[in-house]
Amino acid sequence: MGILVITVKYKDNPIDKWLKKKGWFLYDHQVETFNLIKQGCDVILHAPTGGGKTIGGFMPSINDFINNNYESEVFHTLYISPLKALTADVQRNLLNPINDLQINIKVETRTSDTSAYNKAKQVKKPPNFLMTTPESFALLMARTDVTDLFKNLKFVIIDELHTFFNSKRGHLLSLNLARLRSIKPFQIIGLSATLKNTDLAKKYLSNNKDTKLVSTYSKVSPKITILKSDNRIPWSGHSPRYALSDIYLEVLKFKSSILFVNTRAQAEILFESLWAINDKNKKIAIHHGSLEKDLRKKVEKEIVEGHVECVVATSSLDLGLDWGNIDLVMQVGAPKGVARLIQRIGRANHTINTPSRAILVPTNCFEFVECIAAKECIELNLLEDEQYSDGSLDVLAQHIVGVAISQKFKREDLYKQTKEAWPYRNLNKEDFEKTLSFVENGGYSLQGYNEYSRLKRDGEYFEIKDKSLIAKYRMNVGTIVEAEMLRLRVSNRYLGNIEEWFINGLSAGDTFIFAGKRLMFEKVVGNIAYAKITALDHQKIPSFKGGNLPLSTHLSKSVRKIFSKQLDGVDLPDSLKKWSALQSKFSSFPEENELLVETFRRKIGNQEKYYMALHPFEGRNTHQTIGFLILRRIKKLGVQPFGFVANDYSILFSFSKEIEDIDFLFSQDILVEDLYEWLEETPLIKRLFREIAIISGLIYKNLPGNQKTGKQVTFNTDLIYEVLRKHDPHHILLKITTENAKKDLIDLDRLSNFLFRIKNKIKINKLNRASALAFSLLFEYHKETPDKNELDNFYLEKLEKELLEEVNAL
Amino acid sequence: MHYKDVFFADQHFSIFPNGELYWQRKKTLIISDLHFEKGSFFSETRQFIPPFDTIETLRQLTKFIDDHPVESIIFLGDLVHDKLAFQRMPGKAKELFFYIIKKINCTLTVGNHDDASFLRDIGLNLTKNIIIDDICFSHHATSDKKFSVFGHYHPKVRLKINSRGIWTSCFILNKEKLLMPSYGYFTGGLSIKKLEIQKLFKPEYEIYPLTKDRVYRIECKK
Repeated sequence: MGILVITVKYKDNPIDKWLKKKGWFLYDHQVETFNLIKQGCDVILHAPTGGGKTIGGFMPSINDFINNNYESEVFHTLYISPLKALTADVQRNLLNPINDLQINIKVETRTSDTSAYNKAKQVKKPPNFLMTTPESFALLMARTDVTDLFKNLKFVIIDELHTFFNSKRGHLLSLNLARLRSIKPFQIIGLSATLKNTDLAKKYLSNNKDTKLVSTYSKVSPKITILKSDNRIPWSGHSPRYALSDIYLEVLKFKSSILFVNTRAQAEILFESLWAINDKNKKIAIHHGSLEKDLRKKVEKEIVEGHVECVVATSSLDLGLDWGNIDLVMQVGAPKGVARLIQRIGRANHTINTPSRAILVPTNCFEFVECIAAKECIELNLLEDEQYSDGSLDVLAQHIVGVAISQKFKREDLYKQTKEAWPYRNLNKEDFEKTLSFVENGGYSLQGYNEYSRLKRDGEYFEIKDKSLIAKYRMNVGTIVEAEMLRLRVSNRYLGNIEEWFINGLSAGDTFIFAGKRLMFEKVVGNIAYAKITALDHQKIPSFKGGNLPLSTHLSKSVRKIFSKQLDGVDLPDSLKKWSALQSKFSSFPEENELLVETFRRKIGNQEKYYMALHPFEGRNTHQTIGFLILRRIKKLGVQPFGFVANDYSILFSFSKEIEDIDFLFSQDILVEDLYEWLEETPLIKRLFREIAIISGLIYKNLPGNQKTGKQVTFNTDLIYEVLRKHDPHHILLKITTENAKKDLIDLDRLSNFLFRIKNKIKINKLNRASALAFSLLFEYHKETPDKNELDNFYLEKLEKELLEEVNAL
Repeated sequence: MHYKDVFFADQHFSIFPNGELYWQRKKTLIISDLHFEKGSFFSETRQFIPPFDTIETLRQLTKFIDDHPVESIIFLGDLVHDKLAFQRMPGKAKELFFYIIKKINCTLTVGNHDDASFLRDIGLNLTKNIIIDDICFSHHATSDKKFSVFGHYHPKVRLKINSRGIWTSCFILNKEKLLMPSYGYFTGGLSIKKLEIQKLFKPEYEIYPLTKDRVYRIECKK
């Protein structure tokens, strides 16, 4: 913990009086934050969920406001959170003491849900404390009266600080904070429940200024158990079906529970399966990000009021909101990361000194090991280092438009100011100029759009050329680009958003599950998909891309460690003991830094298929890249590959004949030689380009007057990407795309660390049949081959039995 | 280059993957909906699409002319995206275009995007339609003659490949009508399942979906 220097009598603080009246007291970390702010420092308050961060963050503000007897119209404190819902929640929490103490402080929220009328009113007569999101903050900063608006600002509070370090939203926020600082200096407080790399967190928050960290840990560690089931844990797949009745029994034991899953599809399946066995009529609800807003709000309200006893949720419930009395959190499926699991477990308890309860439910053998590893990490308080990313230039392009709308600027000043934002500290002049010229008129090398330029130059100054840009900027601000979505309408009400590509794969009469309802698809009109409720079975489940995070580097290391000890000393259920024994008997477990490669063949019908399984445990994204690269190498050896499948732990290739020279596949130059060639070909990069084209404002997703038609992006960005690569290969958008791809698509750092770690440590086991580790992917491989019944686990179980018999027959 | 032969109005045509319809006997190339400078058109809304689409379209056309003994070209309308297209067109693209219309006898059957007053001066034959051997070539479908070849709709079709769907542009035809895909680089499309197209071709028709280097053929009955 930091140094506590009490120089001010915090006891005069009104909040303290209020707490006393309630029979509560201030935590040390709240007092320390208060004192440091008094001394003029910026502060990061790092405390676990239930640690009173909100009060801690606002106490200095409230105190300052009262002590200085500010006029009622002074806009004094700005609060920014990553979630709209959180702004309302914090407002509610703050109004309790304010109303009780009868202090005259006006607290309001401003998000995309705020009506235009209220927004206008707010600007004329600002509240004292304003709660907002990074996007709404950016819009405020793009006002022409920005200097006047913020002239009395004293404090900025950033909630859930850790969510901003590695995201484009975080880049946008940092740019606007840097600009605000140049308009009116302020003190800043960052709040977070999970922080590891505190030095970087300080830098992100206030660049080079002296920022103090106040950190406290929970005195009690959470009670984590792994669900015991008498049924056999499957070797593969992601279905918790084997443990369904055990899950239900746990749910029955607790008054209120959250069941976290990893994807929306899993949420839909678990929700439906629970209701199928819900003979005690427990009130079970579902919550995920694709559901219509009012449906989500209804569920949230019912949780708080205790009408819903159990909710199946995705990451949509991960952050911040205070759910009051949740007694139990279950994580169904792999935890994927330690910090993420802690965040989720934290939902179960909102007081700092009672342990949270959590039960982990692995859905296959690998996940069981991952659960053990995660549990150990939490018990030893070993968190991941957060990732920090360099500022992306598409976000800068968007920001420049906002700046230009607000004020004239000199390019030199803007460049300096941009570098004040920590993610952009290394921005070089050339990239800045290219970005500026892109904003101005497209920045094409041979020919620009001078006539329709967005900016006009007036001597040294830049400003917007005409007002038409303002509406476009306002309608398109933000850095979150979603897949093309259709709204789903069922008998006169909207249920939520569903990905266009999923609907395109349906024919009228096909059935699917959404929001826990069995629906029959009817038609698409404009951007609305119509469906009706049906009793028919055999549904498809929208699989929602992007819901699946890869296993974190940190957790993967712990998993590798457990495997390298042959699962020694781990309390294994019988089914896993058998799994582990099989692996030891017929192959081996990989040493900690070793890459285990297994080759084997199987006869399918009359055809011999050759397989090669790798077990790097580096997470799905990295495996995808390794998979593509090795596939290229296999082709170079003149062997016809059939393809590969990858999950968080392993990669499995199959091909037509035996590979003699396996070492060649892993030679070190694979990164240099093949990576960039592959990168240029992969369709994934076009998806990335689409995001960049929209964020940077090359194309607008929304145009004034276009919304009713439902037609959004009018251009095929794949075509733009191709024509740009051909005719203007040094264009700034292509550079951004490559940079983004290195980080997000292939996770270049992780990939090169992996190649470094396994250098000269490749162990090749030539086997007669698939090992226990490889089995898991063999199932997935066969699952992906037939195109229907993708989620039909019956098929998987049959295959699993077959393979088991094959092994038992030995 | 891969192509597919098709018999329409008792005549032998060839369909090419980029969307060219070639009438070998007459050494005539038919292409539709080039929409020159569609990309730059959006600069008016401050969207600065890369201004290279016209060049792309014209290079594709030049390559076809180089490979085949084309003597005349029929542009089936919507040659330009708007009336200022030629003013915005990059110099290189203009050069290429004027080279082609000088070398080859070019006719434009005027479409709804074409501004006749300007296009008349640049050396194109302008007309509402051309009739050759009982076939009427025009931008919009017509029933003046027995057979109609037209464009306007930018037809596209969704193909299922390995359980995944992809959109491709396509030709669609029955005994009397032949609808051309758009030839321009940035041109979008209308699904052939839409009523506007269905009512022209129902009940029996053929689709020729185009991919990067192949032409396919699908028969539709009912």
